[in-house]
Amino acid sequence: MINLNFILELFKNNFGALILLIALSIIISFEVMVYVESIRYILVGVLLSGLVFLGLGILFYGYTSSYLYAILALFVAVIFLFLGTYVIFLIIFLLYLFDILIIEIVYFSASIYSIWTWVIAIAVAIVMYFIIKQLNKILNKKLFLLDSEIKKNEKRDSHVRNRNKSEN
Amino acid sequence: MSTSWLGSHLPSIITYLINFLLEKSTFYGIVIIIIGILMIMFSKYFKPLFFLFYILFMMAILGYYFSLVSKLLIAIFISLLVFMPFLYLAFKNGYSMTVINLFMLGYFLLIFPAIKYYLNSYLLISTFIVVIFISSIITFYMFLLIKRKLFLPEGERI
Repeated sequence: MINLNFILELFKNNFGALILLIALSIIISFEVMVYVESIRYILVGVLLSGLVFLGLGILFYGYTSSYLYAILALFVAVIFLFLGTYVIFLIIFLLYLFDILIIEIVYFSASIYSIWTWVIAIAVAIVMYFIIKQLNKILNKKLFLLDSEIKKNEKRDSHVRNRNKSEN
Repeated sequence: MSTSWLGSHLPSIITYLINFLLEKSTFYGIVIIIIGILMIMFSKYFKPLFFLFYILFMMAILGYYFSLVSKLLIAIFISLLVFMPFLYLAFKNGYSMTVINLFMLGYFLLIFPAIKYYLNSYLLISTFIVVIFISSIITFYMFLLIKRKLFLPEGERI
């Protein structure tokens, strides 16, 4: 039977399992944060292109009340999925909270009924969440900032080369 | 109880794919790592490549619908035009992570046959995963630095 005591005993006896849980939760959250952000862009695109599509339908075939239903359904579906992405972020946060609570209880002998255990766990989970989020942003920007730097440099170089040519 | 085609075949498809990758894992690992390196080195061509694939995709759709309904054709064309920038942003957002994932998969395939018999405890598995993850991030940064050295002259570096 899996209950809280079973989980705590498992992690008490097996340090590797805890490390595995933390490593997996950090790596998975690292990936999920990026791809969920991408899903958001796609959802906005779906909403706008769907509205354009319906608008064209109205333009070509004339307005009927069924279009209103379609627009409403599109909005509801996209907003529902968009909120779903925030639920995923909440799940990531809860995963961190679970990790930190287990560390506190197993290795620092903290009581789960103490308010301070929860306060510290929530604070550390929030800090961890924002650190991972910032790392994600930095990671993606690095590559494309370097590209834009290289492009700027190439443009300047070609400008200088053209000027030298015209002077010669 | 009847199950769907995917439900009954998915486990065997996944097993087949994993076996396929592990059969010549060293070779596929090297190929995947090289693809990752190329993705870093030629990332400035991301936009034109995206546009090329997008144009090919639209041409395929337009070719399919052209003889059927011209109004539908225009609607899809314009909708796709609206959708395109968002798809571009979505792909660009996940670009670096995809490269890191490729490195992770590549390292996994490279190292796995050599050490699969030693992964017999949680601690070793977690160490393996953490080492692969950190080394793939380090590889990503290393190739960014190499790219900077290759494409930017000495005075321009920050």
